[in-house]
Amino acid sequence: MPVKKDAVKKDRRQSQIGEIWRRLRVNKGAVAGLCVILLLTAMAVFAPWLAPYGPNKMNAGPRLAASSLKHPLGTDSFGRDQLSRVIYGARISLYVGFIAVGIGAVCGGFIGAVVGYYGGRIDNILMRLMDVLLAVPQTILAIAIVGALGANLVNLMIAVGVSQIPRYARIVRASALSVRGQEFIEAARAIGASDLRIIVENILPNCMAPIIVQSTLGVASAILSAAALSFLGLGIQPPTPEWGSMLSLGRQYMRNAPHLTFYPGLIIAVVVLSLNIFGDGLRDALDPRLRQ
Amino acid sequence: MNQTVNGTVNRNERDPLLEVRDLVRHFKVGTGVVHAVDGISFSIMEGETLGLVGESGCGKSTTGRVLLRLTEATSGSVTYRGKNVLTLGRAEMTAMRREMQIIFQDPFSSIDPRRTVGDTIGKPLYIHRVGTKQEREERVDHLMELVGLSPRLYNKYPHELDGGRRQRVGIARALALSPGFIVCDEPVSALDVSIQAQILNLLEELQQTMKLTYLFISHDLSVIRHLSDRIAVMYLGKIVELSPTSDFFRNTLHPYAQALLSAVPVAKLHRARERIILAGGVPSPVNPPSGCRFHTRCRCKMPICPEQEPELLDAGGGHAVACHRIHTLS
Amino acid sequence: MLLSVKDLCVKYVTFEGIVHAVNGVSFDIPERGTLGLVGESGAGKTTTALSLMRLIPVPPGIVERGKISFEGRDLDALSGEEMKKIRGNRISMIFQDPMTSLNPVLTVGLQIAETIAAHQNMSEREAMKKAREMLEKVQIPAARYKEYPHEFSGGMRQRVGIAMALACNPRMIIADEPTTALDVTIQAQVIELMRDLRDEFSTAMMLITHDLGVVGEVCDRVAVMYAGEIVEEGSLEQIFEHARHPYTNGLFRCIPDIDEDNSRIQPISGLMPDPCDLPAGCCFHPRCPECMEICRTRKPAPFTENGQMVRCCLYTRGGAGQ
Repeated sequence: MPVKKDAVKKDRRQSQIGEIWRRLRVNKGAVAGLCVILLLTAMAVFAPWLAPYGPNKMNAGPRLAASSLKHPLGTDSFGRDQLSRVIYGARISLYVGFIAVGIGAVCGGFIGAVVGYYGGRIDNILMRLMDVLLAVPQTILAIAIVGALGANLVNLMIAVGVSQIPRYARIVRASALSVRGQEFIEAARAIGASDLRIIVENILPNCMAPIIVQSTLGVASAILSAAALSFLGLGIQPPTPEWGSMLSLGRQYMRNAPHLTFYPGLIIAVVVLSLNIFGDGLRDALDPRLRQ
Repeated sequence: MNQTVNGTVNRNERDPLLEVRDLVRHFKVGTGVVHAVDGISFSIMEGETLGLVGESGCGKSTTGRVLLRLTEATSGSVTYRGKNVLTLGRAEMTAMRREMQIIFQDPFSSIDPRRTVGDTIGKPLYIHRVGTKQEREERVDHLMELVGLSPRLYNKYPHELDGGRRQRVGIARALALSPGFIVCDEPVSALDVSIQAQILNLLEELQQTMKLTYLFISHDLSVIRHLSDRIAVMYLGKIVELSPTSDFFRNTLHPYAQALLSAVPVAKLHRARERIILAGGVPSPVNPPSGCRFHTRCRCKMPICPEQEPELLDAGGGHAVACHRIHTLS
Repeated sequence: MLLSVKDLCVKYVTFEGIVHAVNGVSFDIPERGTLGLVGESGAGKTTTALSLMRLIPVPPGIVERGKISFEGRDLDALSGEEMKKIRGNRISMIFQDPMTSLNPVLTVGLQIAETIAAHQNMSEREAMKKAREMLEKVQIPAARYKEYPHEFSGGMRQRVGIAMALACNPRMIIADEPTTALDVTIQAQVIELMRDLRDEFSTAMMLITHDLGVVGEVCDRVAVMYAGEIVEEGSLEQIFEHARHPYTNGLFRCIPDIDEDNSRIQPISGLMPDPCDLPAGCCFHPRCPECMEICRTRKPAPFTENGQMVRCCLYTRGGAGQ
């Protein structure tokens, strides 16, 4: 009997993260997606050792050259090595993508959960504010923010992140509204949980699914909006390598040198796809109801 | 003006544990004001079970929730051991929650699907910073044993349990802080008959071992009779009859209560009784009928009924009724 | 016999395994007879009803075997088209939740008229007229036929459901928990109405419910289901006063007595078995207070006496027990 009890105790100490990981591991697609993302992250971290050339070294080869042994992904209009630029570009692009989505998801999620939980006047005021934000085209909003704060990497991330807040706020509010009506929220109030605790511990975990799905899609759009801003000269300044700006730069040469748009585009697609598959798996792993 | 009547089951001449005075809860809706609870008064003695019966929309669940301030009262007072619960500050109310708890109807929505059983039961202890982590875990083990849950279920999620076991989790959570008073809001009506009996027996046992006082809300009169010492019948936000249980069943006074009792399908043959079928449905609580709220469906309606609202008066022996025919009823 | 079901077996294939929902159910309903099918959730009551209407979703459902004959015709042999003519016309159904079983965007009059027009050779106008008559029959003013379901209260909606079920003057009605969602006083109205109309239309009825009280009000025969089997069947009096199966007796002991002050209740210990993994022998043996050694291994055969059928080893072994 005491042996059994000990076993139960030990079992109970397993951390939540360990539990989620065990459930995630079952999903092969999610693990593959996670691996790709980790590989790309590693690529960004170890860029100086991986890249065959400096990312900004001009005339490393002939201009607009197609793939060759010397330049596996070809060269751009300044003769810079594409492969090196893609590898270095991961640093900025992933950074911007993740942080911007992080800002959007955390702020938007929290706002959505708060207004969904309280309802009434707070809901009205904040959601009308979100509507105003939604009504302004995202890029213009981001331009305004970067314009006001000044053009640099941090402000770029803030700009892209803030412009994403309303989307998260909307979807989280919708699920928070349905969670709020459940009796377990009343039960939490009855045992004396504060509103903040209820929002963080009960509402948000039950609104995880849409946040995760939206986030994994959001990374791509964040990379692209960052690129658009860079293109307009607000944000990352050339010649800093960055996938989005490589994409827009290559656009002019699409006919003669399609590889200039193809490779950056491909890698963005790979990131989005793996994030999406991983996100789906994570959503399922976080939901105990879906566990076998 | 004072329309309160305390039951004579004031057994040991104790003060009531909980006293409700002129409690009102109105909700604003698009079309007007819902009179969910409209001026009710009652008291509950220590160790007693007060059964609150009525049909859906009569305000019985709202009453339970107002007592615990899960929804704020519009006016009135709720006094628990001499303290007015409705005017307590935030910190005092949090402390008061250790004393007053609630068990919910729906075992499927009353437990957070993303938390384990152990986590759910231990949460009240954590919030009120009871003991060390180890002590809390031991207390959870003890509570699970008390409500008849196997310790193996500690790490299980709610969806892995059936309704009866979930309801036991809800009961354990309510008992965690050793409250004195528990609102049971239809705790068995979502359960199967055989499981319902298990939970009823558990609630009874717990009441004896932990000296609990219950406000037992139900629409099922046989369950109410089984558990309650006194019974209050609600109709459209008002208490129409309040009486010791045995008295109520032997001599039901209010025409609505009579109809309600006669409508219960009983699993017995050859049971002599008069069947009263009420016409129509319950009127909207947005515009409740004038005077006595039951006059639109009452078979003993008199001219005075739509004019003047009857008060809840003692008809003798602590058996109170709100009806103009009080003198001719028994 | 109006309806005769022999050895019906239905299972569902799910991720968790094969759910044995109905395991060899047989019963008969005569003309104008009323059978109450009683059991707790998961006993297989609704699956039985749906298979009578051939409405089991396939997949995941599989009707393994079983013969259902209605008015002398074998329902399994009918084509989909022929079955449609029977459904709603010869056999119709009343559902538990009157809110979800009505279409929220059509007026109730139109919904009843549609049912009539679908089965009977009637012009739209005649069907509409009949629909209004049906509403009057269930004590709803005919003037309300233009209203939408949300304008009715729960009890009224259930009346509309009953009007719809009776519109084509069916030979049999299957009512699946028709009063469970209703308040006590409204339930009493609906039960009264169902009884009156059953007599007026001389329809047979199968009433599915978990509430023995409702069964006592409406039915003349009762079948008690447990884990996909009918464990006991008999007349109302036999089941209510001389129940033989320990499960039936247990059910009655679970209900607090409304006529007594300090009634005792004795719960049935344990839980419903997992329908994916039914116990060997008698399905009820893990919870049975009178479980014998043989119950763990041998499935009891039906034992019938005076028209009361029971599946319990207490009786098949030379009438020992009780």
